Amino acid sequence: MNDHRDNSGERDEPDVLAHARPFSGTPARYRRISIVVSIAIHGYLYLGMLFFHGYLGGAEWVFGWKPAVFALVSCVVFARQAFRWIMRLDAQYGSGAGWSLPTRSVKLPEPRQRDR
Amino acid sequence: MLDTVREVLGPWYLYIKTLHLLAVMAWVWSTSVAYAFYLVPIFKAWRRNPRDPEIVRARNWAIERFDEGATYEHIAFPVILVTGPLLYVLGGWSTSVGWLVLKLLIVFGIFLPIEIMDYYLSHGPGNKGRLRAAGNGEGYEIAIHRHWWFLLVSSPVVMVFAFAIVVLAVLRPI
Repeated sequence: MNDHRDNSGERDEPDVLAHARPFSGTPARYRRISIVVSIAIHGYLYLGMLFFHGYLGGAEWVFGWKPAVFALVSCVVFARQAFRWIMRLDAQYGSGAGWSLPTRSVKLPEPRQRDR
Repeated sequence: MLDTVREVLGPWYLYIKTLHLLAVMAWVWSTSVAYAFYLVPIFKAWRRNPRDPEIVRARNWAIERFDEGATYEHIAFPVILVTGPLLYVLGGWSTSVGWLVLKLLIVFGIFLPIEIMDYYLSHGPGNKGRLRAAGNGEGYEIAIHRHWWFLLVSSPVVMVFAFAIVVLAVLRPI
């Protein structure tokens, strides 16, 4: 019978805060990244569609004003929503009051290191 | 060359499509529960309490398990990269099909770089379990910060454009 109390996979972590450092994310960086990423993605997709679908595929509609306006609006909306998304994800919005942090003593299953 | 591929694999088109769809499902959803209900709540707690050793311990354990949990996704993605272009060739598709061009642009231009980075962080030099086993405490902490940066920046992109891929493939709006 397996002994589930086997501790041979125990983590070797004398001080988990020994190498702690502040996380480098800030709202200003998140805003800048959201804008840059949105412009890069929309620019790439718009130009990609112009070349592959329009130029190579012969679709004339992609050269019209509607796809350009759609790409522009989507770019602005995505940049704004991505920023808010990142801020929420990184706990910059809200207080965390919806969660409690109870202390528990647990054993965590760890895979054994195998010889290769 | 392409004619040979069409001749040999053409009769298997629907089987390849089935494999493609199964891989897409695994790729899109396999990490979602771990991400939404384990990783994100713990990382939010860490961001609010960065010096709490119990939360840091939970964070470390969760991200190490998440590295392993990404395995299904990272097996599925290469299957998509092989079966997708195969379907393109076998199905006689061309660049005149708008939804397909946009879908391929998204997969190869957006998701491929994201997945390469994800492979690096989860299974390559950024694997947290191996860094811990090697006693590289500083590298371990840096790798976790780097992974969190990756998840922060990639999450909105992945959610929106994975959804867009499914919409394009099923509704074929353009």
